[in-house]
Amino acid sequence: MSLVHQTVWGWPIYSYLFLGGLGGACFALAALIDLYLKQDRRLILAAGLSGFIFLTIGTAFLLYDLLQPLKAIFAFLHPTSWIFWGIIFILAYFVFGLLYLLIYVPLPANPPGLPDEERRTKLERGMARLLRLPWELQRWLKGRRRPLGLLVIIFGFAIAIYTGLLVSAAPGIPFWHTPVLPLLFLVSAFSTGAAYLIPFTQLWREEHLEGWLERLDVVLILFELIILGLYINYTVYGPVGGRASINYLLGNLGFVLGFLIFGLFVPLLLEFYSLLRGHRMRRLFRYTLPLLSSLLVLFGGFLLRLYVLYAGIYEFPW
Amino acid sequence: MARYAMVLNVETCLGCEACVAACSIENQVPYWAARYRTHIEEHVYGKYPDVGRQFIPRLCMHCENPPCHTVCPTGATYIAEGGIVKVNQDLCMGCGYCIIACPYDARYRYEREYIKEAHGIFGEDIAHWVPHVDKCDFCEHRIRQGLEPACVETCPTDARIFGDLDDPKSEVAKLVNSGKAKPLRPDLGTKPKVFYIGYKEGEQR
Repeated sequence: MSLVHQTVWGWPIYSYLFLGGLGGACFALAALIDLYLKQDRRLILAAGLSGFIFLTIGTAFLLYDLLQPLKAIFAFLHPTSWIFWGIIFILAYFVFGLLYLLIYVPLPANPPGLPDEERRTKLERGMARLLRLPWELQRWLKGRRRPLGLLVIIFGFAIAIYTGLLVSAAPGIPFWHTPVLPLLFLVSAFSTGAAYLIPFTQLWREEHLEGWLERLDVVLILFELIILGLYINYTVYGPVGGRASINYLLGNLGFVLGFLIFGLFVPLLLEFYSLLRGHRMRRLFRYTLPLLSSLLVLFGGFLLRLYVLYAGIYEFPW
Repeated sequence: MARYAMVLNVETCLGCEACVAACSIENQVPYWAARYRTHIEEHVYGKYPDVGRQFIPRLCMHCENPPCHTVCPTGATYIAEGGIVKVNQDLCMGCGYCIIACPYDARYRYEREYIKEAHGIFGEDIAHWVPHVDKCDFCEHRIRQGLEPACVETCPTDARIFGDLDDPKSEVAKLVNSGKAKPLRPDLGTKPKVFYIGYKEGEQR
């Protein structure tokens, strides 16, 4: 038996996995807040536009990694592949996400032009109707806010879990080929998504959220730690390659210090502290502490993908 | 329909790598970059003083349930007649997902610079004209002419036996059906069609 590190997927892919999970989760979380907590124009616009930027950059990285980027148009031909489903999810996210964002695009109160009774020619009336189109579209979309929001939540979630499913479809790499890897990526994606939104809600003093995102992030980080614990417990026995991967990770200072300590434990403590003592902290700390913990969570989420890909060890029979 | 398979006799393989050379020339494999469709792995088994050394030829297992085919988003990887797992290089976008999914290290990226190099070596009659993921295809072009794969034909010790599993009288079918030749990692459920005689668990050197 030989244990060989994979070298096929490098920085473009782990960056893509991170950005995809972050983009999918932050828009889905904003839509959740918008639908079920309180309608929130600024948060939706911020999360949606950021999500679009993250996914555009991520997809560009993925295309850059291809031997023939133009042939990506053929990636719709084989539905047993997770890449096929990833493209479907990302396209649906962009389409429904854009429609959802259009609801909140600020338009002036009235369409331009003269009142209808003063119009004479057919051309004038036609022009006026054309100019009114954005207002009518927005009104039509407003009536469909709920289903559109739900679709954004569904496809944001789908992208986040897809990033894990993509990696786990590798029977030769025991560390990846487990049911908990997609779960770990999903939880981490939503944790980074919440961490990304927290500074916005702090900046805009969104009191009505009552620390909902901070609470959620604490729970998600705890879940991440539980999943990691389960994983290490599983590899105590089992495939040699999986054990080699865990040994590689636990012996790696970047993973232990960068991800475990500064990417999970420190932000967990910081978020816990600001939830309990936030109202009593000095103004300076009230804003900088959540920002610091958010940056650490985002950094940790990136390191997780990086080290999971680096720890991909094949277990070849020779 | 045929079900092509190969039996590799580890007990007679000398590790001379004539098969690697024959394959590289036949299929214009980028040997200058140490990328191969078939290769010999050196393997040490046992504990001192009862130790031994084996040469394990490896190539695409042409699985009946190939993970590389499952994960291919473009359908460039397909199962051709006779159960041969092939890559359509005009459809392949080179994402490398199949390389990640293959548990037998059977695939590699045929990079753009290899094509230039191949032009210098093989002239105008080029077998790989676009960058893609490449792998063994049991020398399908030779099978169609009634020949054996290049690696099988060139092997001096008959360590490679090629045949049709659906023909019960073929040597391959007899060796597999008698249980003498066994697949590697059957636990993965890939149902390989390359079988080994005399393979022992061991460590790579």
